[in-house]
Amino acid sequence: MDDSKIVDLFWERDEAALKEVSQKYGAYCLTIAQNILGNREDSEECVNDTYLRAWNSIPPNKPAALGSFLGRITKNLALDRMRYSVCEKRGGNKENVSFDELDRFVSGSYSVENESERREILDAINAFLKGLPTKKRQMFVARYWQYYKLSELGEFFGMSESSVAVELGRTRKKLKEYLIKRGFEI
Amino acid sequence: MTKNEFLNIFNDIDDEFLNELAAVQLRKNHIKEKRSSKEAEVILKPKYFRPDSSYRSGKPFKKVMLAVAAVICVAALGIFIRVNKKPETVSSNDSTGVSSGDDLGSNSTIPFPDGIVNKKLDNVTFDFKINSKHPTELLKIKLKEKQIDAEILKNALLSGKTITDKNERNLMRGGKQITYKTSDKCVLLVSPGNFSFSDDSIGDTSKNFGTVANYFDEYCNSNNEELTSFSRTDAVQRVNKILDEVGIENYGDPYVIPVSSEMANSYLEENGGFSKEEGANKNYTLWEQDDGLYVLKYKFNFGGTDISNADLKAVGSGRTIYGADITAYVTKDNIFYLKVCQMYEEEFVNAGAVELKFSAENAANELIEYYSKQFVEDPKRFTECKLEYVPFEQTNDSEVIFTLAWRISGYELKGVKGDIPTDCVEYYYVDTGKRYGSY
Repeated sequence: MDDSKIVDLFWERDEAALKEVSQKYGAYCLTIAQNILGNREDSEECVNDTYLRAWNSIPPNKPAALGSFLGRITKNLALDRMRYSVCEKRGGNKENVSFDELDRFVSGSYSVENESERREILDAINAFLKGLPTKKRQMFVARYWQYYKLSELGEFFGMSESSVAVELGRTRKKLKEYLIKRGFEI
Repeated sequence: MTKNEFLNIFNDIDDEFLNELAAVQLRKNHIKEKRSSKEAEVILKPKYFRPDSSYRSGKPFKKVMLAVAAVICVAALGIFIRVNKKPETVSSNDSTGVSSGDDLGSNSTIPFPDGIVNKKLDNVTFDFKINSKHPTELLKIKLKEKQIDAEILKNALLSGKTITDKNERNLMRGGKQITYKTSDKCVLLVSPGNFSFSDDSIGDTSKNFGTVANYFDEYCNSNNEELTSFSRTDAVQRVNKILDEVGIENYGDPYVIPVSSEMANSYLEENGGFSKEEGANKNYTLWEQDDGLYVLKYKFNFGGTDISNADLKAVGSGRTIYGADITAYVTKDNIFYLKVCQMYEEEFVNAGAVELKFSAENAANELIEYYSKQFVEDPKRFTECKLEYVPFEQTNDSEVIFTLAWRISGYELKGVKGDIPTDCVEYYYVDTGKRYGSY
């Protein structure tokens, strides 16, 4: 079903909206949650919470892009849950979001100080992503937004794990150069 | 910056990147579901359903096709603009030609001698003709979704076949979807504004006609080649005959992709893993010399101006309006796949004038300006600029108002190693100059 129709169902307070969302975006949200939490049970709970939050926020919201709207909710819920799990020493899946490969990408010695600087960096990252070839962009977003493992990315894009690592490495290097060239310290 | 700071900032990237990835993921899930529940798939989707976003996405491919596709991509086209000067309700087939709009002038910031845009940036080339004659009157048009009676389609497409199953279900948006299945593996789906026909007895054999056609449909561009076994004219005439028979009139000349047995066999031999992903038979049979097919892709047009086949958001309502097009896969003996998406009635209502304040030159300048500030890793080439109808507002479930935009299109020469060129399209409104987006 068209996203706009699903949003209409939410607005009409028709519970069929939940069924449609689950049918269309259930697997997508579950993947995001599982990549972060690494635990099916927690992930499913997280996805259910996503539906509930969507139900409570539409209306008044009328998301133009339902997929990314739900994806963002799922990700934030999953990250909250993961932080909670780690804090409570209840396991969690911290490794999944540690991203060792970012060690050489960021200096760690400089801190983004204010919202306007953060906004400028975000704009630069968006412009950089826009210029990437489709597949490289998808790979980069899948890794650093959806927290896919390298092996999963390999399967997803029909490449070997090492090829994925090489591609991501090149993209990180280019992004770093791109940001530095524009005066950002990273 | 720390890793967490980076990830935190990255968390807020534009929705368009998330949507793009989500679309690919949904598509992959769809393919998985197809493999695990073939019966359900037949009812819900036509066999060679092409998800919207996949049309522009990259795909690993082999060197042979890379070479073929790169060569056939290099045609630069001029702009052909015709407008319809009509009062209220008129037929789109009665267009009245071109009018001069010299008074509109041009406020180009970059000169284009002789109307030729030939500009090279670091990794982006602009190479197309600009039509200096702008039409003086342009219209918004209101279109109504076309409904074709299921019986008419059944008679045209399943004539002489034994129908073993007929299924009807109510659609959430209103209307019904009717599915017919025949004893010889044909499936016809009919819903308001859409229908699809597929013949799996041809498409789903070990020669994988369906999967091969679908692949070349998605990832290759048109060319002028003729197959040795039958002519493209023959293929076009056969499809046109069916379209005429069921009452579809406002389609233009098709974009034709010939798939020879050599091309298909290269694909079949070199894509073992890929065929698994796409659900093709692993134990394939190579094509004989006569086994070529044509992929035909039609756009609808109104008064000589195409309507967009991309899924675009209507400005007024924010709703996504699905692109309108027709796809057919034709072998020398059969049309084994025909899908018509988002048909509109031929009659349209004048929904007001569109003032052309923003010329093709302006659009080209904007795009050049835009790309001059972008990081572009792999080469892009823009080769065509023309007017096209894009959705402006959905007035109700079955009516949409379209307005006009400049469509500047081309292709990305290569992406990750092994990719073939992928389409890139940019739109600019003619009345505001606002960039509609890229697709």
